[in-house]
Amino acid sequence: MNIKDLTIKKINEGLKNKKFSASEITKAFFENIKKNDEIIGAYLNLTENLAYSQADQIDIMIAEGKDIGAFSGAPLAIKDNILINGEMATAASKILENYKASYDATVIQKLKKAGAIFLGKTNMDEFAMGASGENSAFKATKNPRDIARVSGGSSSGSAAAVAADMAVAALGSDTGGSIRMPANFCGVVGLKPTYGAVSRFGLIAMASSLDQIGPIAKNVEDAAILFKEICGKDNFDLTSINPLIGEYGDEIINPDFNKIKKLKIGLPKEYFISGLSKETEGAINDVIEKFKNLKIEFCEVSLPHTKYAVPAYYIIVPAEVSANLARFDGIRYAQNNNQQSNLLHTYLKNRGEKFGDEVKRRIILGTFVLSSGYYDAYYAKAQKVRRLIKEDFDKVFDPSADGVDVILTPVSPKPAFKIGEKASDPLQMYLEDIFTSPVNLAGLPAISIPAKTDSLPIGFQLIGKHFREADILGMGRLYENNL
Amino acid sequence: MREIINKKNLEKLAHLSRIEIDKGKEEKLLKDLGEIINYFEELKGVDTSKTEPMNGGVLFSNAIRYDESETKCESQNADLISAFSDKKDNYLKVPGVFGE
Repeated sequence: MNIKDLTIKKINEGLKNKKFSASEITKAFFENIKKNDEIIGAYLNLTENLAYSQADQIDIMIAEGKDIGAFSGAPLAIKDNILINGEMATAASKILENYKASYDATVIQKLKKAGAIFLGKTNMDEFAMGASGENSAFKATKNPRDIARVSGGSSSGSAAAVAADMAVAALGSDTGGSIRMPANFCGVVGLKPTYGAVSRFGLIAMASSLDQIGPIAKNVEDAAILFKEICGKDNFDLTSINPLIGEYGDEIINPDFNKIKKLKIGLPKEYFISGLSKETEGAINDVIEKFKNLKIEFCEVSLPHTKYAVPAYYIIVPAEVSANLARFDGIRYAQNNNQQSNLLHTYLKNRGEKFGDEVKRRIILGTFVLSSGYYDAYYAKAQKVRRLIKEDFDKVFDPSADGVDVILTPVSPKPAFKIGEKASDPLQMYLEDIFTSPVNLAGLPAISIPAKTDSLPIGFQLIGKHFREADILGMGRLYENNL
Repeated sequence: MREIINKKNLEKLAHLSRIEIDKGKEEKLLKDLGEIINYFEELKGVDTSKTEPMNGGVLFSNAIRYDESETKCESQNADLISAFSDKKDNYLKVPGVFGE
């Protein structure tokens, strides 16, 4: 058994054919983690007891001749802002350094039922705020493909764990690119589902009108399999909904390639700009060529408000952050060592000392854009621009106007940068989200798929219509099958 | 660059945010915030006179459920209480609101 070659599907087949046991698989992954993670820094906490007890349950079922599900036995890494009952959940923040979750997130409940094995909790930018992974209060996750470079954020550990075979797949969360960016930098697949497709109950909230949980995997098929397990309406997240037409059907996992080949891809001219590096442009052009060889129809489209996405995003996100993070006072969810003479001073001291620089910056910025004198000029303005960005996509996708089905773009202007290169310049870091944040503002699904993996990885992004994950997953499968 | 945030109103914002700012980091924070807010000026070029604000979400339907306690088990409460840094009986104990 070589864990490099394993996928969710192969593990499940191997267990059913008794090639190996779930405990053996689990052990192999922990051995690889112990060998490599000291350098990479993908995990914050390993959940070994939980993993081995989950593996034992699967092995017992197999020994008893019972049917195990199609997902059973998948060893997963879970981003540290997603709660697993009884396990630490720090969101890579000192303010939650001692917090142990007292319930399971809905996605965790679903995966437990499906027979997943949880290897551990992964590193991230503190409270998911960052594009590089360097904002973790504990350590920066290194890119497994070049350890001098960032892994990308904010789901840094989840992407690095999958890229370095320290998990077969992982869960991340994506508010403005936090699944797609690290997948892009580490050379793995990352899917940001439609807003509302996956319940966020048990996800430590960053910006609630944008946050989505999604899968990171080695290939598109595994991403589809994992997505299918976690999607669906949940009474505990009232923004979660079932797709418009019925349930997500079999097409998520078994696409009809004849149908997929008839989909039309749009290339938005605003995404092919002068800031694009030569190697990224080259890699994206190669992908376009490959699709053209498969007789996929392309056309140029325009999303004129693209350049306003980042400023709108960085007004809306801090506004929501300032409200969502008000609950962290260093008293609840924490062992408080900072008792001051009165409650107010305790809050000031705890939040001042235990939040990192980027978190403090966003809370203060959010407080500013929501303050009465500036609300209309910043927050209300950003929300209006958000609508224009969504309408850009609506027009391009409009079937009555001969619209496209899928949009293809780069994920970031350049491949992974050096650790420390942008750490002291927040605005430069924000600009990394230029191609990913419009998708969240419009609530659309998008996937990052490796386009080039021979040197520093470069990904391409496919953006779909609301609840049409099947289109971008199918198109991604078509690409992978014809490599 | 127009100065919107200065030292004085940064202190006010930080206090409203319940964050004590490290004096040694104040200069850098002011500079970063200034640059970021200046970057927001780009939005002024967009005509939004006929646009309604968008709050997020994709589809809106009324989502309701019975207002019932959803505590799954007693141990869930016990876990939360055991995480308190200081307590009296089963209540979280904090410093007084009107202390020195």
